[in-house]
Amino acid sequence: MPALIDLRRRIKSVRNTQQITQAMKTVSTAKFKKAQREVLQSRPYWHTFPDFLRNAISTAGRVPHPLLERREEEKVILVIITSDKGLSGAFNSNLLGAAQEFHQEKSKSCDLQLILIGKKAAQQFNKPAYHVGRMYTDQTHLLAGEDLKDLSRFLIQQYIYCRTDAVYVLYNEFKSILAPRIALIKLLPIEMIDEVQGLGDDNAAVPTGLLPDWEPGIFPLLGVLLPKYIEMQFVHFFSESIAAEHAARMIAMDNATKNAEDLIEGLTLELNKIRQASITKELLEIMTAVEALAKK
Amino acid sequence: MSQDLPAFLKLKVICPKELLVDEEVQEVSLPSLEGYLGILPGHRPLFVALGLGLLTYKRSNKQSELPVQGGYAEVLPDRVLVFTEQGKDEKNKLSEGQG
Repeated sequence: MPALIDLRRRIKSVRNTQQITQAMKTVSTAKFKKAQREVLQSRPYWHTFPDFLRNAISTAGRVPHPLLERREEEKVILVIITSDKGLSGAFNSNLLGAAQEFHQEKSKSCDLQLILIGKKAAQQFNKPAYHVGRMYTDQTHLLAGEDLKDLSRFLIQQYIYCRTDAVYVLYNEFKSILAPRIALIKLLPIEMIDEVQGLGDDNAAVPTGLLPDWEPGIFPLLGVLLPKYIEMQFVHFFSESIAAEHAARMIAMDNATKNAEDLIEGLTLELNKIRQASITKELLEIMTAVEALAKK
Repeated sequence: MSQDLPAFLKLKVICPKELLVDEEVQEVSLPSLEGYLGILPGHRPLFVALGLGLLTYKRSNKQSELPVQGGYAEVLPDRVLVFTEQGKDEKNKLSEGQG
């Protein structure tokens, strides 16, 4: 039978842990609310811009733009977006698992280069066995506009100079609070033109029957729109990942708080039982002593 | 054109942070790179890059305006879709000032 003092100590330590998880939950709830608001507010943009671009490309017909060009996949880049901090349930481990799978599959057939965002990805993949191109580990959430722009410019360059034949991005998409969805997106080459060209190769496939005007011209406009699209996609992936991270941490900390509560309940019950038992034992001893004295 | 002209233009102005305008309007004026571009319902399809300037739109004789810093617009006979870079519109600034 454990001593009472040990049980009391354990209850106290569990309670302390519970306070910490409770505080972390509160913090991530606040952060999550903010991230969620940002994601929801910018969704109209993320959702309509690809449609807009698809329309533009479909009416432009076959445009020889380097970012639309498709090549045999020999050199591939995979961008992995994780968080810097742990304690967020299976948020990172699921994603890293998927990354590992992708790596095993792709590295058989082609040269795979990794770009790691977040400390968790770096811990897993920054090893001699992997070919790591770039790594961003410092406070991922500070990786604001400029760094993302820089990264997307780098990827576009790599693609245009034929140093890579495809760019994939693996990230956690914020689907609902309960579970993030792991998304693997092929960022480059921009493939939306394929579905469009299925309509027929002649340029006359415009729904309104009228060919649109371009100002200034198809090439200057597409030349700006396509890189812009890549840049925008990156910001999008990143903010989704941040919202998903906070949601995952919120849920994980909520579960931890509940677990601690259950643990405290169980321990308190045991403590009370032992206390009761020892009181009963003492009473018994006194009674026996009294009876023994009375008999004399 | 033998087609009936639509009565309204569905105007949507979207920036990365939020949806700024989603209204049915009678007239839009876009600041394109080569000057202002007036658009009425039934305009022929057009893709246009935007420069710096004021985007104005008219709805039942009420005129509203919105500063725009670069962006793109898609014009179709019955709708205008504008993507812009700028963060906040005039309305927000005004209400912030009042609040």
